Amino acid sequence: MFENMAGALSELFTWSSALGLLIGVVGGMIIGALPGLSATMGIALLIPVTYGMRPSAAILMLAAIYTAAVYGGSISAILIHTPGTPSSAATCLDGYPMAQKGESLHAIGISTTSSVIGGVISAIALLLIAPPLARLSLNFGSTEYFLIAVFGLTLIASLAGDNMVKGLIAGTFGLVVGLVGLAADGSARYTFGVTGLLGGISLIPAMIGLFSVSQVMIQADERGKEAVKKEVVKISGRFLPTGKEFVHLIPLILECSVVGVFIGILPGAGGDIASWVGLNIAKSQSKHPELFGTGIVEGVAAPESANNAVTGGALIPLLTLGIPGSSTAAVLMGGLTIHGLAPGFELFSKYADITYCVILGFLAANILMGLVGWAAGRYLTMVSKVPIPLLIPCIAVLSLLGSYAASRNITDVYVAVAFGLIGFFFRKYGIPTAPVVLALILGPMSDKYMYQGTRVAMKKDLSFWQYIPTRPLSIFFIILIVLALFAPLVSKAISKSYEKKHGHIDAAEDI
Amino acid sequence: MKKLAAIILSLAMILSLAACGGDTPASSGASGEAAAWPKGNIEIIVPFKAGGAMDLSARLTATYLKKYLGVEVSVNNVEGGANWVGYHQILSAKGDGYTLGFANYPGQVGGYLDPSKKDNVKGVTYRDFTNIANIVHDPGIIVVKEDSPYKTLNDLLDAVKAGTKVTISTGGAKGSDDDTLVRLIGRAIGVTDKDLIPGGNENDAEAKNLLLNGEVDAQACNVSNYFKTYESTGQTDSIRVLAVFDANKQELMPNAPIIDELGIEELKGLYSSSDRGLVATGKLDAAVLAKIVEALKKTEADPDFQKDAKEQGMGIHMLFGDDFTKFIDGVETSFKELKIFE
Amino acid sequence: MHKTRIQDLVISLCVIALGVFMWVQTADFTDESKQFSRFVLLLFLLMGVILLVITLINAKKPAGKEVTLKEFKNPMLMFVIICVYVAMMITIGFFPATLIFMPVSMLFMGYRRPLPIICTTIGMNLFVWVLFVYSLKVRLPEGADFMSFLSFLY
Repeated sequence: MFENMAGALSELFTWSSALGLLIGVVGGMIIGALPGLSATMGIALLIPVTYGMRPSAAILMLAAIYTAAVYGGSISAILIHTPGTPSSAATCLDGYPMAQKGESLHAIGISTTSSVIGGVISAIALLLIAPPLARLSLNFGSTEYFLIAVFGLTLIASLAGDNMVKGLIAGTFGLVVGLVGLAADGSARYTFGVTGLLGGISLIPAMIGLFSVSQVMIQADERGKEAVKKEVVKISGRFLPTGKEFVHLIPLILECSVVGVFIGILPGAGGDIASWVGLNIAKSQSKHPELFGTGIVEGVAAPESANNAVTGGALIPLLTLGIPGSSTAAVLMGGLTIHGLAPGFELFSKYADITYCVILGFLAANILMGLVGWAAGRYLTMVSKVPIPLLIPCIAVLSLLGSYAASRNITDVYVAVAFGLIGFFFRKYGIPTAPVVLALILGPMSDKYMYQGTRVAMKKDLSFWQYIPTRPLSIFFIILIVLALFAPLVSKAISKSYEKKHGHIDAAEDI
Repeated sequence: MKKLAAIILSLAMILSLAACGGDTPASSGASGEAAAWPKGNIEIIVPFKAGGAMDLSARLTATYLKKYLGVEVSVNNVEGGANWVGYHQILSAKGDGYTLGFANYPGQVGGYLDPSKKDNVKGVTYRDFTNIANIVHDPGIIVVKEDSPYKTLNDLLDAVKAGTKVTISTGGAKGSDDDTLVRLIGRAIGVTDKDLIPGGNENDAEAKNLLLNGEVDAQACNVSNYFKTYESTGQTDSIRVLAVFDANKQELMPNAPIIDELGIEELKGLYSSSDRGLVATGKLDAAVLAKIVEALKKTEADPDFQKDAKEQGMGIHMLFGDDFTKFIDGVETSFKELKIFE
Repeated sequence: MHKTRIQDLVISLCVIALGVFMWVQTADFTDESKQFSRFVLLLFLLMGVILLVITLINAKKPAGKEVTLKEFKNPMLMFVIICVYVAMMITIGFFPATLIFMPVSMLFMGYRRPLPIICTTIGMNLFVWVLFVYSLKVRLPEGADFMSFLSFLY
């Protein structure tokens, strides 16, 4: 590896590589911050632009877009309650309340710090442990991936908020929505003859609808009120975390980063899932889990370090095995192919200069991203100073545009509007919207792997459920799921008995 | 209340505008205009996502159409509706030759033959398109891991015939070329899909993953999936190609055996491939069609085009007019004979 | 029954109705598709029934805050405006539709200063054009045929 470093460095310190890096970071941040333009889409849209570039500069630019877009998504999540990419949906929950309290600058600062640390750790992981880690995921089969999806679904219980049943209704509603489109065997269901629904309800427009169109509707209730004309919030506070805060947050950030890298390595699971897992980790370790959702720094630091850690992790199986670790990495693979770079051993031998240049550049991109965010942070928060009546139409336009541009399919705009209405009613009646998004990702995934597992099990004349216990790794995942399911119940029971002792009973709470 | 009335009024106005828009007749390419074709930019609608194999093929074709037609040729990816949103857009375009499209086979045929998609496809078949030319031809292959007990295709088939259940992962569900290949082999040797089991995987990466982790015995895929690793080592790092299901030796995989030279009687002449071609609406002006075909024939003869295609792992096999139609018809017939959708 | 419980009752009945409606359709599905769909619908129906039972048991107690009809007026009007905007997008094209939608919704929200309205509207359209149309080459909705005189914009 080290003998390639000299070549890689000389490749990195060329004008074209440096330019690719800068364009990638700044462009990625803008793409990420715009609702509806995800990292996946940004890369897909820019692949044609890289045709004429040197391979190293081209791949470097695409990788920089990936990590910067995932970071950029948190900015709009914090400022306008609209996740810029699916990876930042979890950041809305605490980031936006922070901004409402006037701490938007600090929230962006925390997000920047955590994103940079997560990204740098993933870049180091990519550099040092790519091959051995990739070997591990090679042992995962259909049952393991199915169980990973189920494990993700158990997180709904912890996302549910104070009303567990409504949270689970939201989660199962997401699963039901995920049924629309093609079943795992390729047949169509619940499309009602609409051609645009044959591919299913796409994640991006559904998410834009649930989070941002519904936000536009809720804000419309401010119509004509005094508050509309006044400045929304005073922006105060510092950008970077204080020393004490940093010491307090760093163990959480590091843990979420490591978890994020692992999630990135798993095919199919990307930043969207990692950010929820990160939030869950933060909640389970907090002494005050009830404070989540009120605007606390842990709720921003955890998902943002986890989702940026995914980016490097997702590149590990992509570069070594040709198996993309996330949907964004899958598109990135298209970019590799265009430049004649086939993933695999060749990348680390024949094309080692290019590969290590990309990896080192990826590390540099994560640091550069922090600097750009630091420099631009104060100006970005100006968004919260814009009067609501001017901001709302802009959010509406960007939301609909984002849902259209993702696939250039007008049905997606209808989906966004319809989910805006659904999201509005959900929020009005106390049904959380986050579980819908999570289930929409994981539902089709579990369907797919259950089907694949069923086919594989036919070879041994077993049913899918009989097949799972025959695989040791699956048993490990089952234990994880059981733990995840019962941990919240146990902790709830403990806190209930604590409350009883201290005589505090909330009459409005059902379950 | 006044505002509400205004909103309703404007809604009514817009709806009436839309109705007027619908009445405007689509101007069909008159022959006088066709003589001057192409005057403006040409758009190729690709019903698949950017960066995928279909997109790459379309972009390469666009580059050389630009070279020989002398106008900008842009590629527009229209995803959604399992490709049918894009196919419908190609069909509803004017016949003036400024909007063309890309289609894949057997994907397109499998889509409209699937009864569960009937309402979405809205009765379209390949006959509704002007099938200009097939461009990329990517033959199907069966591969196993290097350390597999099945050294040859015959070993694998003997095992199935002796009653061992064999699973083969595929880069697509029912209606894809990989899945169809497995079913065709099964039918030829007289076993069902309960004995020679197609994996029903979503894409090639997943199918490859299952092969590498040992959950399946073999993988059905295409030459383009493995040609790169194949090229550098003769055999790939951990993969052995058992057979190429094509009539001709593949330039991209010169050492891999083609099916007819393996001496397996039941499988003689069993060919499978994934094909990508240039299409347009059925209304396409005949004079324009002739010009496009001429440009494509020049493209085929261009050594730069052949070189670019080879680098990206695309086998080029152009078919025009009746040859192309006959080919698609063959795909449709084999689906109907297999009865996979029943 | 307490007012706030009626809301939950309606939600649970909606869930059950949707679940049953979708269950009926599974009859035509392929076996593989049927299995997973019914599994998911069963979970969904179960949640609906649980909410129904909880609501009926606690019918007299209040649950959360009451949602009044007044809260829906402005959001629903905004929703109608958005729907009209989408309809305009497909008939007269993205840019003309946006040029109309933005000032209308700003005025609807009670904002009256002309200069910021004009600047934001024009700025937004320019921004979208430069980023999406010019740099990223995304084809935005152009509208029906009679708007083709604006096709140079896209």
